[in-house]
Amino acid sequence: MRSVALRRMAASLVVLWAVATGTYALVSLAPGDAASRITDPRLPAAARERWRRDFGLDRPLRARYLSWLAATVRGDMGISWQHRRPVRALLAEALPPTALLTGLGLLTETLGGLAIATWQAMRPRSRVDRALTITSLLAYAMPSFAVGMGLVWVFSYALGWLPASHMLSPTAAASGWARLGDGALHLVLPVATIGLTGMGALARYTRGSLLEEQSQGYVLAARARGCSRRRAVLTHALPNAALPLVTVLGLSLPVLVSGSLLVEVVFAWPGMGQLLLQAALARDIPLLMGGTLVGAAAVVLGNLLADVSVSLLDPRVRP
Amino acid sequence: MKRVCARWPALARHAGLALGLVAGLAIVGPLVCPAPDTIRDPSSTALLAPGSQRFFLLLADGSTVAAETMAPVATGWEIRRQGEVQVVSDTDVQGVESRRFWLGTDALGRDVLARLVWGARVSLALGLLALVISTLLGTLVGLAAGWAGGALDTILMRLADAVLAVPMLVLVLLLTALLRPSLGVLAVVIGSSSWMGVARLMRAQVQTLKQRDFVLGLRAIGASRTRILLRHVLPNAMTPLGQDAALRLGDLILIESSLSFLGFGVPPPTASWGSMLADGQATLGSGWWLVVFPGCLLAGTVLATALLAEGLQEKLRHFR
Repeated sequence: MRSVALRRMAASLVVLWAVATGTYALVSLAPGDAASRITDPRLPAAARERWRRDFGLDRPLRARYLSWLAATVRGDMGISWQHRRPVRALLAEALPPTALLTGLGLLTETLGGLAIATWQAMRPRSRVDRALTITSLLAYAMPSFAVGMGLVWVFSYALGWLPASHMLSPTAAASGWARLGDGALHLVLPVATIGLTGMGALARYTRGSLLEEQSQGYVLAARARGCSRRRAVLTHALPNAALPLVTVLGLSLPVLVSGSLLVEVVFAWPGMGQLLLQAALARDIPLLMGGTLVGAAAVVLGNLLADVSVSLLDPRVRP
Repeated sequence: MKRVCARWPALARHAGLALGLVAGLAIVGPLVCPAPDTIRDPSSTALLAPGSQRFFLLLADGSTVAAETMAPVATGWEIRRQGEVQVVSDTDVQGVESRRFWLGTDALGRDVLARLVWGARVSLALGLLALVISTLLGTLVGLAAGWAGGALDTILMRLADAVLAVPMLVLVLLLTALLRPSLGVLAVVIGSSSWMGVARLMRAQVQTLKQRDFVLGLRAIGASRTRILLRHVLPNAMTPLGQDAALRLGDLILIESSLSFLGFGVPPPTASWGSMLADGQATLGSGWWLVVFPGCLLAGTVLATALLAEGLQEKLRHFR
């Protein structure tokens, strides 16, 4: 058990190193270097040369790469060109709101997807089942930002029930329950957007594996002993069908992160999505590199957790 | 063998038809529809509801005037523009034209229908181009990894893991910040960040095919390795690619529209479904048609590709 976890961890570290190296290679091999990106084009050539020397850009690529890698491992990701602040501090500020949104979105997606699939699997090939199958396909096909705008239109513009954007109202109380309630209201629409768009694929997958499990011998045996369909699905088929779901969820993490970045932009959520979008608009390379690394680290960590928890939950894959 | 010609599932047939319609829209539409970015009267920058009509007067000095209503009077034309009634004398008017905006206009007075039709071309072309690039790249990597095995396999698959670990949107943002976006660059960027699935699929296929007896037989009769790989393994390995490609086309179209939505797609005046949705977000409270029409078209296209993929899977199951 422990050796498997260690092996997986080592593999994750290799992947992270590959991401870091690949990112660095992309940035340093792309046409034009940092000097031509940040400095004013009207700067005299001599001054630009001095600037390059001051920042160590005249050193060979390998030396630059090694010192960059060493700094990155220590957690120093450089200074953002746009904000003139350490990338690490900027990312540390933006990460908690994104983690909150993505985490709640993942939770909604999982619970909703499981509930829909179980509901369907209890009455396969019925009219409800067919309608829900089409609906989940549609949810998969809808771009998350369009779903978000639709929800805003209905619940903010037409009904006026929920706030359309940001994390808190400008008039929110400084602390206490009122502030918490305000925050919760602001969370509803973005979390619903992430949940609804992710639910479709998950429900489709789970329905398939639930139906497959239902034709297995152990479920048929339970049914033959007089166990109700409801009970057979809930207590026999579901645990077995839900297990591979952990891996599927782990693999769907990159899509989830990308999706929540988009949703953040729609809802003006003060997280990584906004930060990276602004960085890309301003061609703020250090910040983008930092964002890439943090995004990759989140995905790798999620996959690692999924793998380890599968081997904890499933005695069959335990060595 | 009679199941080879199994009928397509009804939904997949409809989906194929719908995709064909969208493709037809993209190919034929721009030939019929006027280009949406030829605003003839810059003063007509109004958000018009679907179905509303607008009149255009061509004046003698070559300029155009847009009017909400117009009626002939003794001295010329009485028109109402921006709420004000004025009379344009007959000698000034060279021609009169009316145009109905079936799906309304956006905040710059551009025809939404025309933009949808022209945007279909951009969205589909980019999706297809990215599909071709990612399939070629993935097939190449998968073949190499599966056939060679050993160190090359490990390196290539770790590389795929690494690219897969970066959320696609972040990767594409980084790439577009490094390169100036244009249609070609965009297709390469999207394609080169979505080849990993194909590579894994091809690698698994090649690895199983490599062990099969027909490869051994070919080896025994003296076929060269290259010949076995290209003439025998590759065609067999490509069976599941069709279904995968259909499913991926939808994803790629979604990615393109997400990028255009964020403002990193094809540069502005060119319409794309994603950038239309972004325009719609700004006027969400007053113009629902700017969001609903492109949104539905986009979702419908992606849905059609997903259904088509499902149909292909069904058909392949019969084939086996």
